[in-house]
Amino acid sequence: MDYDKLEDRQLIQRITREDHAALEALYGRYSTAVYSLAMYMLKQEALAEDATQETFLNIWLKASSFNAERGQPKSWIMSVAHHKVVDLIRSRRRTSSMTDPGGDETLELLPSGQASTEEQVEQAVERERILKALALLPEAQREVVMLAYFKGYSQSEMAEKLGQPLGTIKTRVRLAMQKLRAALEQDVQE
Amino acid sequence: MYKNNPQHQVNPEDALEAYALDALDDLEALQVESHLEGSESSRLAVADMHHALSFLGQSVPQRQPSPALLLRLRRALGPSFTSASTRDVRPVWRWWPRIPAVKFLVPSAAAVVIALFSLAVVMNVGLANRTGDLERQNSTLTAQIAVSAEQDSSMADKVQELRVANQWLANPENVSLNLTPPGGSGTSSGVLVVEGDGSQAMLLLAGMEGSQEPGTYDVWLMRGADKVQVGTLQVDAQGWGSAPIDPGESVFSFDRVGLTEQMSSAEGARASIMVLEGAISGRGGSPMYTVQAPVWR
Repeated sequence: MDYDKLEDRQLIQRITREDHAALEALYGRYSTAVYSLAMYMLKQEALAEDATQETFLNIWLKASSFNAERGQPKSWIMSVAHHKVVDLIRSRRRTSSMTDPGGDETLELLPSGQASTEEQVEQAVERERILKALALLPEAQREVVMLAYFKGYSQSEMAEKLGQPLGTIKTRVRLAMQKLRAALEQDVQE
Repeated sequence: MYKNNPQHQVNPEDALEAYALDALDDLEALQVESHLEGSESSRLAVADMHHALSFLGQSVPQRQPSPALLLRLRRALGPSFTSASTRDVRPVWRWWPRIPAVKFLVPSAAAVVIALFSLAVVMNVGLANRTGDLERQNSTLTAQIAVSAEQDSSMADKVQELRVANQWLANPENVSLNLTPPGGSGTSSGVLVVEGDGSQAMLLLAGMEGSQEPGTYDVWLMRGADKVQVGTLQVDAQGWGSAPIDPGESVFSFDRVGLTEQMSSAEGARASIMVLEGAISGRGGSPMYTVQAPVWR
């Protein structure tokens, strides 16, 4: 069996049947993306490795909960990873009164790279649309997305950090996310 | 900051964006997950937002994890886990007969036996010391495992407690009554969820600021000057707790509900001070959200 030729969703299907090689193949494809996100958010190699390991263990255990009709495997894997990293950040904040996992550096958005397949081209276009939509958000809305996504802040924590009413933060989150989602739908319509 | 506060009850439809962003507190996220279980359109909306956010996640500087991480993952998955690469290694008996140096086998084996015997003598003392170290480590690990098992059991109890609370919250026939500090200040808060006929109730507390952590509280129902104790409730170190209340008669036949902190004997004089109280206004409480099993991640 050549696992390199299988699609992500086929690998996930095999993982539900406890196929270890399928998990290793998925790890080979996404460990860098998962580890990079964890490293960016946690700033410590040991913690980032813990988060990456936990992510793939979670995928192993919960592969059956993935529904291909609801979303793409990559989005699911990244959402599992993000959730794990946020869990780690928050548990560390609880135990060590850590207020911020890292500095306030701005995100250096990477270039798309060369797209070789039709799917990769489509992904690159979507990615550009999302990052452009993010850049076009009003500063206050972009700020809450960045604080929540990359720093792991909850809405109530952001309200406290920014000195704003919780309702204001919730509105900013909703509007920002609706615009990011609309950017994807615009892509589909075109 | 992360305490499960009943005031954090959300309208799940309005919280999908924050849920996708992992920006909800634990109890809020639980409510949204329960909503997602029954709403295909909401699940699709969340999947769309996860898709959009995945591009942010992939836009950070790329870093390769250590090769050792894959080995850690294999170990974590258990001894039965073998990779495709390790399965392809040829068994020993396939290459053994190819060794041509049979004529050197006897002298080589003798030399190896002598060398091993000498080495064993030298290492004997060291091994004895190592054995002592390993025994000490073993006893430490055994103690740690016992502590972990205890923590797991405690966590399972908490989950069960949360599930029971969810069942109360999920019943649309139930009525919720808010409990607040008498002076109106502080983070302590509570909700008394009462069955439609008032015969039974569940009390949920969050953010309790007691003099002891964890603390124990007495629950009182009051009617005019009469006061009836209907239960006790223990909160954890984070100030969160829940417990069923048996009022004996309909809760709605009383006009107030209150909570006092149980104090040690030296502080007994403060035992009757209300730390939370609320009015019982009949079947006009706040509507509750439907809560079911969590989904998807």
